[in-house]
Amino acid sequence: MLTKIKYTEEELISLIQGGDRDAFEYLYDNYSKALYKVIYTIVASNEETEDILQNVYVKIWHNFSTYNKEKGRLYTWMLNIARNSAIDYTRSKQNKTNLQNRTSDNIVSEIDKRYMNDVNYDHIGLKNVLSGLKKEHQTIIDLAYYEGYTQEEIAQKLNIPLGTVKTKVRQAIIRLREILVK
Amino acid sequence: MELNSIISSGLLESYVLGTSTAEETKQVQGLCAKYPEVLVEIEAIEEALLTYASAGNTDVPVSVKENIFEKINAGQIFPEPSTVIKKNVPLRKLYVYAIAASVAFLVVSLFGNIIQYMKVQKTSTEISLLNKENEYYAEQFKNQQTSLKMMESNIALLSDPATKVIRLKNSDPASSLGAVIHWNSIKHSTYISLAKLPEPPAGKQYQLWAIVDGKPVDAGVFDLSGATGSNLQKMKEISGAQVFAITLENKGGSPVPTLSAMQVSGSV
Repeated sequence: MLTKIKYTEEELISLIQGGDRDAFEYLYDNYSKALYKVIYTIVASNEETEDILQNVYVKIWHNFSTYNKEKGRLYTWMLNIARNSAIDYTRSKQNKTNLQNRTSDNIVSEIDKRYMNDVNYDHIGLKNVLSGLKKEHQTIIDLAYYEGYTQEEIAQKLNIPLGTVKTKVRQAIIRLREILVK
Repeated sequence: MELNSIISSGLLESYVLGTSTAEETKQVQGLCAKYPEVLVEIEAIEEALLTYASAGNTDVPVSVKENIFEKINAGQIFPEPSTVIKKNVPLRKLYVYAIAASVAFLVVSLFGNIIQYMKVQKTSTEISLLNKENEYYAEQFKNQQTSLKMMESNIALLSDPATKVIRLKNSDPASSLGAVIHWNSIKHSTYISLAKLPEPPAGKQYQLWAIVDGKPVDAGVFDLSGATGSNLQKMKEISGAQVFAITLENKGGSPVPTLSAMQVSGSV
């Protein structure tokens, strides 16, 4: 499923900072699918997702010097760029096509709806992975992952104690790891 | 001990998901440096999340990758700053900029206000000057209008065929004294336009008389200043005059003429 890891994160960072196209290609090959999913979850259109993903990678390349590993993982940094770009895009293009008149709250609830009925699972083809994951775990993970919700915000949104959210995020990822190891 | 409770707290997950606070991030960084197991754990979490999102049969079209590399190789610069970069600007620095900008704006605005105030002062002085000038010209115009109307009525009077011009002369043919009277026989209006007479002594005034059916009729007193030849001075209305004469009388006039003091006379 994954390309064999050729670079450590440290190597990747210093190579790309030096302008290494191969290392950047590796960054694309390994992370573009995940970032695509993140953006798609927010904008809900393949065509727009492709445009945004393209801009996100160009942005990553041009702004790579601003990445500071003291502030977090490289993947986390890219994740933030993808999320913010997608959210900015939906906000600025609210009057476009089926996103008409949606506020960011509406977008979130739209995403929630998608989790409630299994409609889109086939489209994103996660059946294998998701069948092993409880729906409540999945909802929590997706809110944090694709929407950037903090644990406090998830607790508030789903009306469950903060402690429970923390446990469930952890349980969900542990379960994911088990599934992926198989 | 610290390690296990941290790992099981869900902090590392939220660190990788990018939802941890700045303080928590710092804490995780510290732990990474201290315990290699933490980094291993973080990498495992990251890989699980990466695989979770990458899983599936949707492939990103090759054109996306091609476009990205095309843009990068073209060295295209995108001035649009990323939201992540914006977040990294320290808040305190922003405050400093904001304060500096405010102060600069205040100074500029103060200067602008002073300049505006001076301009307004100057303008209001100008306006009051212009108003005065305007009043002066309006007054002048009114005067001109009045004198024009008078001229018009004079012309109308003079060109009336019923208006007769009577030249009054002194009995001594060598004398240069004289006067000019305009009398309308139909409307009975009487005017004196010119009186070449010596300045009357103090307490004295010239009086015009008309002789009607052999009797003198008072036509009113007049001042020399009003009979310089440039306009018409209205006198009392007279009907059926045969002769006009001017006598020197006490100021205010006399009911009967003092014949000895007759200056000039002339027949109609």
